[in-house]
Amino acid sequence: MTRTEIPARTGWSAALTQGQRFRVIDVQGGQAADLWAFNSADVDEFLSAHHTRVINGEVYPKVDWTFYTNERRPILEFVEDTSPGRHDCLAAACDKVRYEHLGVGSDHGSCEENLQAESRRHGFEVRHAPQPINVFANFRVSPEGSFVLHECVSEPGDAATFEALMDCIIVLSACPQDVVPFQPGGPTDMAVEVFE
Amino acid sequence: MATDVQRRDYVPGPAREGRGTQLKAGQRFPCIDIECQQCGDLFAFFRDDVREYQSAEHTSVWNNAIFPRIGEQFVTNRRRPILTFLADDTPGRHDMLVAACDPIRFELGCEGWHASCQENLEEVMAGFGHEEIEIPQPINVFTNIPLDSEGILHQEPALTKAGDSITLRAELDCYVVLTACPQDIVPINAKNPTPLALEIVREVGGDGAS
Repeated sequence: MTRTEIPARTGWSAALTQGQRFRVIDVQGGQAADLWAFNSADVDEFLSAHHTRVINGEVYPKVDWTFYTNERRPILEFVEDTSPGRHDCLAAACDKVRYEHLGVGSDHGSCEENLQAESRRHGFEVRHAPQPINVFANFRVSPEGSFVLHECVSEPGDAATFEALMDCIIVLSACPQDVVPFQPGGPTDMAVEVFE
Repeated sequence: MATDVQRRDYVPGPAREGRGTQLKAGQRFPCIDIECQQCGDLFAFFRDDVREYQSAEHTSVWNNAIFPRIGEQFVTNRRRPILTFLADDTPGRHDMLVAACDPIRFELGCEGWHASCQENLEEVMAGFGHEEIEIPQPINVFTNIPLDSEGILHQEPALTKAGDSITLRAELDCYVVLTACPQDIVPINAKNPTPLALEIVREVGGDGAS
């Protein structure tokens, strides 16, 4: 097992082989991570929340969910969760434009830019971030259909473990959101453990 | 100045097929359920760069709402308004959570080729000269897939009646594509795919506006 710290606001990535597991850890609690997965053999095939939602018939990721690609093939499985189980696959990744609109300028880091930097390390360009899995993000739809960005409820050391169902490139971003207050401690560190 | 004289271009969409049009910012377009209980997948692409398109996940955050509501805007993956939802003459059920049906979807449930909204979209956009597009999460108009408090999606028959419509306005110059969903395996179209239509409203007269 290899453990890597992901400093607050930064990204991380790795190429995994089918069957490998990785554990996303909220080190200090209250922190969300954006997760993406791309087929190593063809990065135009990637984890698609849109397809995953309709195939699973529900919208909140949880243990035993399979995540599917835009070609409706299994790419990840959610195998273990020690957190309270609040995760999202409805909210877009934050990006440069989001922070401009929030009034903090275009120099603010974003999950989309973290993804773009990580994908370049693997030799491909991402122009627009696919809908991520927002691990530990406590976003919920109210009975009236409002979409509410509640505060994260994960505690220090809470972890979500996934298994690669095909050879894939995994990207994580420790979300740098510090304007919309869903990360109660501000952006903090994540860690990831990759198992052989 | 535009006058109050209108020209309405009617674009019929046969059952199971898609149709599209190029719109200028400001143009209104009703989407109409001709018979009843028919879902439509609606897409909008910025005309000058089709890699910018209506994005459900950016729209949900923009509006703090998961289902389309009158008066709200749909934004692109660059967080720019591309459509506004002006009027709703239906029971008010629309979806932005479920991917477009595609050939792989139907490989799972039937023999041989089956029409799909994804292929319809690709065919219409190819007709506009765009062979390579990303497939966005559509706005599934007239689509009755309620979400319960547990997060479960319920695929129920559309509630629309003959002639029910919604009206939107383009906020950017864009391609708009509406596909009459050919889904006949799950009950969202009451297992009977039927036609939809687009109507493009143009103000006529004034200083040379056509």
